[in-house]
Amino acid sequence: MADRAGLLDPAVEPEVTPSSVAAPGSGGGRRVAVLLLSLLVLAVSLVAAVRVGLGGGMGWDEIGRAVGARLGLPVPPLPRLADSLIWDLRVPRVLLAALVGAALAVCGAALQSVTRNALADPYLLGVSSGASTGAVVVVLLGFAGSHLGMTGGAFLGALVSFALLVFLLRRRGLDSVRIVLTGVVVGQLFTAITSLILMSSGDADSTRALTHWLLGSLAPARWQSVVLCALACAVGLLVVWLHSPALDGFAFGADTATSLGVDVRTVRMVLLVTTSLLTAVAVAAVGAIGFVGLIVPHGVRFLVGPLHRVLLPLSAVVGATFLVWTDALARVAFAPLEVPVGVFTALLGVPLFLLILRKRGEL
Amino acid sequence: MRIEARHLSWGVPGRTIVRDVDLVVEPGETVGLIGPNGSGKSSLLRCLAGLRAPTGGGVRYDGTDIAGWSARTRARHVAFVEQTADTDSDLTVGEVVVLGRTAHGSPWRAPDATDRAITAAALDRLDLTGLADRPWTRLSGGERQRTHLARALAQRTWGLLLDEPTNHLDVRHQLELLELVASTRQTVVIALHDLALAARYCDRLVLLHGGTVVADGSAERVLTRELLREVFEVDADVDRDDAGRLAVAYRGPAR
Repeated sequence: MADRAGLLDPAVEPEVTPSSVAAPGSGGGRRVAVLLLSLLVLAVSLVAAVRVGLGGGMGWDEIGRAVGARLGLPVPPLPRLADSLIWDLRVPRVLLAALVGAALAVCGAALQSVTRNALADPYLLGVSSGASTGAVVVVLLGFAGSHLGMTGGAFLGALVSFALLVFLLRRRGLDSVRIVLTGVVVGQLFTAITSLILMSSGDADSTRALTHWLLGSLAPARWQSVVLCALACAVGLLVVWLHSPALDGFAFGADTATSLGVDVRTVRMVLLVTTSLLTAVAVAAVGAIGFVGLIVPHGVRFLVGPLHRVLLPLSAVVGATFLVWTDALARVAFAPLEVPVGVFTALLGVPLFLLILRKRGEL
Repeated sequence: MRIEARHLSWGVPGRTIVRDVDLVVEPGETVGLIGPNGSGKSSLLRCLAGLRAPTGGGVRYDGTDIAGWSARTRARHVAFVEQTADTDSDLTVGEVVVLGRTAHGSPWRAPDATDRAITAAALDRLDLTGLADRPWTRLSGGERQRTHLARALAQRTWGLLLDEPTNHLDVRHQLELLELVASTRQTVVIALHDLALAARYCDRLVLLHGGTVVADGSAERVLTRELLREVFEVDADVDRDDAGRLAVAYRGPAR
């Protein structure tokens, strides 16, 4: 077949006339619409989740006054306790849920591409195991009283486990199978260390506290962690998103990606570091909330296809919405008892995951 | 573009797979790489594409050694099609072909109108326009192979390195693909299993055995009974048919 415009001839500068553009893979309009719609849903969810399960006879009016006062609006002030409950506990909790959900979903999507493994999730590299070791050490050393102590310990532990991972991967190339295997080994090592410490010197209370933390809970959310997570998300998500073309190129493996012009080793290292740090911040703030990073990217791929330019932002929005709602559910389902949110992400995630697999004809 | 290998060697610890290969491919030439399984065709192609760093010697494009070139720079000079490059991702044919544009422009940008036009032309060239929106997982082996070649053409490089691109193709598509490859102005190195097709469509054949070049030249010089027997371990008659085309008739495995 003739290539009339000479578009495939490297000797000819490609000249594009409107008639020669028959856009393959159109549907860009639909993708933008889906993204805008999901942003709207997230915005509504954020507001609604603040209201859900708000006790003490408080409702929209009180929320409006608490938020309005911060924005400098002329609203009648709230009693101190009610104001603190909404502004210092509930609002940061909902925001943190959104940030952590976005971070986990994007990290999961990126790692699934980097490792070419559909089962990859943000904890694949052992970061959460390192974090739990750090947390348990802090608890046993008696610094756990302050929330920052546990968060700081978990973050340090995550960094140590990631440093070990990079050390083990340093020599031979960053082959995707090697990344997965090394991550599993590092994770197992730190899980064993955590168990060892707990068995040898833990008491019933600290074991319980740690189990609760490991399942993940947004109850300790404060503005401090919101700000920290927001900064980490802003930088981390941007770095990952900028690598969208490279992530697409990984689809056919390292050799094809390299021949397309992707510097595979560098991109893999940048993304491993970015996703690990982002995961470390999230885990340190709220514990290891499972399943969000695994199922959200799969669900979003099902909706808009595998191109990361669209997949990553939409995963962030859907992950945020998903965690905001599961956390609201965790608060009210067995009120006044609060269930760790990780229990609900799994309870909701498993059927959703099966549904997606079924729709794709893989089950 | 002129592609040159000088004293090129490559191997894994304990095993040399490509051994002291000297090869020059002139601009616009189509060179067929032939040899039995394990003779080093794929490894040589990967070295020529810069995907493997030589353990000895080097590769030059237009006289410049490519050692130290970035993947991006290499990707603007040569496109490479692997023998089997599969994915379980649900990319469509059009989305795979547009991947060929990755090395052009800024690394962060999205495909623009020019990229889409080039993609459409590449799809058209490989007879894939009707399949543009079909997901990869629902393609036949031959359609996948053609998609990869369209992707390589969309890369608009002066060099094309193809590792058995006719695998999985039916006869018609094999002939169409080889005609396309032979008619381009690009410099092509193509690994092929079918000796008769290689003889017919390539300007020159290079015969590999145990990682070294044992013959390099016209089909008549390379496809001799003696070499076929020694390298491929087959007994075969090599003749010309009425139209002057070289024909290889196998009698059986060499005894």
